[in-house]
Amino acid sequence: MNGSGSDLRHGLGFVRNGSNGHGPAKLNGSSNGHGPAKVQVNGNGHGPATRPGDVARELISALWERSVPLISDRLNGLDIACEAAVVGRLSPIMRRGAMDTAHKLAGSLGMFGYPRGTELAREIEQMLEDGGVVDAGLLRELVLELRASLPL
Amino acid sequence: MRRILIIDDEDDIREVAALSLESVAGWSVMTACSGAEGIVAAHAEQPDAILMDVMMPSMDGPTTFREMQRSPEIANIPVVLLTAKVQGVDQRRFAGLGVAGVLFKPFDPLTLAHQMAATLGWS
Repeated sequence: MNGSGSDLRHGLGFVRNGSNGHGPAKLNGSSNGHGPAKVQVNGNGHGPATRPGDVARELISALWERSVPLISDRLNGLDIACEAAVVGRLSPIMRRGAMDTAHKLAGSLGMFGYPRGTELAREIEQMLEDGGVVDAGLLRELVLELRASLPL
Repeated sequence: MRRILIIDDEDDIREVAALSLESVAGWSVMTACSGAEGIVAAHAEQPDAILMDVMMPSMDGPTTFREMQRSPEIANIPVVLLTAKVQGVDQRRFAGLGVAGVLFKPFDPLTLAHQMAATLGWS
């Protein structure tokens, strides 16, 4: 994760405690559908987080760290769709896949505190959802802006 | 303590929702990653409510809900749908299914429990 130690996350008021030199919250456990991950919260260096909101912020911040590879994969998928659109080879299946990918990003980025990412992903989803020829230049622009809006 | 079943195919959404409901509201949460798995879990666990994604592969949220309605053992468990669809036509369609409510992605993890409690009429 890039970003400063007090990376104020838009919308949710998240303050990143994991980059303050005292170590991030630790995530252990599975994402196999049989229960939530087990998380160890370190707090902000002044003792463990005690308020439910503080605990939730730290847990979600830690979950973001673990989700970065997945988010990156999704952005890479959108890049591939962009390249295909630029050369006029965006197949219906690829278009549908990119639309689903954008939908998933739209549904999750704001949850992690990146509402601008949700807005851009939603624009991409709607562009691909509409019938007709995709404006490859605009699609590329949106995907680049989406990537730039995230601390990957 | 309230017991909630979360059904969502996306790991990150499922985990953030679970952690949110557990850490903010103190509810007990179980999870399932598909509609079919969710139906089995609902029978086994008899949760107080179900929070379920709309768009899932194989069996989507509305189809899963209709399946649940056919089973008397779980038909009365209130279901709240979770969707990233923002268009009004989709919202009306989901509301017309007979679910307890519809919440929208991306949700705010710090207020999800409050939204869900309000939707379900829990004090």
